[in-house]
Parts: sequence; structure tokens; C-alpha cells
Amino acid sequence: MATNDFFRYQRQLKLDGFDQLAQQKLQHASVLVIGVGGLGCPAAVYLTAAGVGTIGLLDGDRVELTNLHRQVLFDEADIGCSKALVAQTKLQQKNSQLTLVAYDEWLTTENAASVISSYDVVLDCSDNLPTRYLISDVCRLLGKPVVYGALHRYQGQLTVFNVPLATGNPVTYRCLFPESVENSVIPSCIDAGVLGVLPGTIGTLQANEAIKLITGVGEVLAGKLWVIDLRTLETEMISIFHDPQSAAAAPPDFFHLRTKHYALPCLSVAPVSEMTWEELGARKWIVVDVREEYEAQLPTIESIPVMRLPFDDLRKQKTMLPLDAALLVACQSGLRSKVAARILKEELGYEEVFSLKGGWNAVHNCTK
Amino acid sequence: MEIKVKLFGMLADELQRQEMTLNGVSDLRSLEHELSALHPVFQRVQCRISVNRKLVNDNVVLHTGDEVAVMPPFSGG
Repeated sequence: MATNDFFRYQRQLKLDGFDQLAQQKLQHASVLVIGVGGLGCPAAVYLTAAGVGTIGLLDGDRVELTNLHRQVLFDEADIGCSKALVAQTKLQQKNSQLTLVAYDEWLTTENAASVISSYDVVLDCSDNLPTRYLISDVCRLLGKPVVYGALHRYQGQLTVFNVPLATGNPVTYRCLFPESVENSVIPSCIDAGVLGVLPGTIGTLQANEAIKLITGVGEVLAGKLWVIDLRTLETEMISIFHDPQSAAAAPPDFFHLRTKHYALPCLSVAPVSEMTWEELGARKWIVVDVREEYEAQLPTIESIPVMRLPFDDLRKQKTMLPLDAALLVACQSGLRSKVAARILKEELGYEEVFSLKGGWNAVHNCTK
Repeated sequence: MEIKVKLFGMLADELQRQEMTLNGVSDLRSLEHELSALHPVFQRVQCRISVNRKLVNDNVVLHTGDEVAVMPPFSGG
């Protein structure tokens, strides 16, 4: 080890069980950070500081003002710039001896296998479920460990997938959460909000798991889901298992993976427009209520027809709506209707589709 | 028999509480049934249930004092 390296990493080299060999393992290792946002920023900072030899930074997004409260690598001057490229530049300043690779692109079924195959460890720092399933499926086929972190408001989840277990086959993301169309209503940070220090906490722990995987120091969080609530600092450690039935939903090879529809948000050609009840104006609308019958009766509105098309049935039947109608899709809170509007537009070919902003909750006097 | 159920993620948001107590549920299936009847979010979102900090798929008998947690996927990053 070079003298300079010895000084740089001296404080971690002093640790019990962390020797020069462990440091060399980090130096020869490669880690891919998928999503350079709330989780990816702190994870990448600590991987860089610890001396991981090659770090890939994949994100097709641009820095926005609303990112700055939690995506700690970015400054005001970076707004509008590529997250992957800004992160690469800043991290290189922190540690000039490492190889930092920026991928200013989204993860897709086309690029996933070729990008991921050149790394030892993958950090799932993404912010949407379709990307999480894609990462899980590709890494299962390539046999790569995935350090998973995910957030909801004040709560975070952490585990390591795809690592051989003494108790059975490796656990994948699908074993923990089987894919389901209903899962598309799970709110993101944009919809639900998030406390900035939460991704700071979980992203840092993702770097910790990667370091443990690479060096063999400590015990990797595999076969266990760790959950923390920052409001109380209460934690749960839940044993999780390989689930053959759920795992079977993963594509068996790369041919099937490339042809599978993951509903990746980056491939969404038609962003969903939202509209409030007040903005409707005088034109002819058809309101499509995607709530189930057991949830609520259809509201009766003068001069606007309201029809029920439950979310689960969207793709099941040929819908009876005229293709040239202006559709206002509604649900209770405005989340499901956004997903439903996207399906109506992209998959079913309706041209003018809007989602009722805030759902029926926001239309107080029309709910019953 | 009282079973304490912890709720996470959007389940806690929708029910506006982090914890609740269910009476008269003898096993996992009856607990799932009870939750579905209680609030539509349990039918909308595919959640995983752990009993005494262990994820369970198959039906298991529940006992007073068992720790049950209902976990939805988290999306954010």
C-alpha cells in the first residue's frame, strides 16, 4: 500500500478486523450506484471516502431546487445539470485516486445488463418500484448482490438481496414485495414528502453494507429487512425468506427480460396532466371514477356524466369510452387516478386524459 | 384475544395511526380478512405481514401478545 494511502485510510485501518487486505479489497472493488438522489448522494460520498476503487453513478435526471434539501452533493449552481456528471466531478475532487464513471442515462431493459455486469455490487438507490424490479431481475440473472434502500416520509427500509444464505436460496426484491399493478399507487417522495436526513441515514447505511460485502468485515444484512422510523428511532428487524412463487415471476433469461414491460417512469412518453375541479371549464367531460364499488358510491354531478371503471379492470376489458372524449380520471386522493390516466393514455390510446388533482377529497361538495 | 398490529408506510398514513389492536382474530387469514374489511387500502396495496419479526406467507395461528407488523413497499429514494 502506498504511504499516501496508508495515511488517507489510517483511521479505518486501525479498526479491529479491518486491515490492509480489507483496504485493498475496497480498492479493487467496483460499486454501481443506481439513482444519484437522496440515497445515492450520501452512499456515493462514503464509498468514495472509504476508497472503493471504481464507482459507477447512474442517473438520467437533472438537479432541481426541490432536490437540495436531501441530495447533499448538489449546490444551487448545479440546478439544471446532470446529477451523474455533477456527482462524478465533486466526488473526484474528494478522492482523485478512484475511477468514477458517470452514466447520464436512466436504467432500461436495454442498458441494464451491460452496465451492471461490470460491477461487483449494486446499490438500489432508485425512487420507483419498476426500476427496483428491473434491478432485482438483472442482478438475479447476473448473480450480483443488491444493497436496497427505500423511503416513505419518516420511515426507511434497508436490506441486501441476492446473497447466498445458510437458511436457503437468496432473497430477491420480488420475494419481499411481489409485483402487482396495485403497487403503482405507492407514493414516491414527490407525492408523500420526505425528511432530508432519512435518505442521509439509509444511503449511508447502504454504503456500510457495500463495504461489509466487499471486505468481509462484520455481518451483511441479508435475509433481514431493517426498518427505522426517524420520529421515534424505533426499529424493526424482520426475517425475510426466498419465496419460490414470487421469485418465479422474474424473467428466466435476458431475452425475456428485454421484452418484459416494466412501466419505467423514464420511458413514459406522456406525462400526466392534473386538473382541479375549478379548472374544468365549460367543455364536455366524462369523469372516470377508478375507485372500487366497495369504496364509495359514484357522485352525481349535474351536466357531467360519471362512470365507474375500477383501477383493477382498466386493462381487462375493452372500455366503452369514446376515443375523442376528454376524460377526467378521479379517485379518492388523486394518486391512483394519475396512474390510471397514464394507462388510459399510453396503453389504451385515449388522447385527452387528465387526472383530478387531489382526488374527490379535494372536491368537498361533490363527494356524495 | 387481542393482537397488536403495527402499520408502516402508506398504511399508517391512510389509517392515520401507527398501531391498532384487533380482537377475535385467531390466525393470519382471519387477520388479513379483518384488515380488508377495515379499510380498502389493504385490498389496494400488496403488503407483507410479519409475526414476531418473521415474514409469514402460510397461515399461522396467532396468540395473545404476538407482534404483528404490516409492511407495504416503500418507493422513495
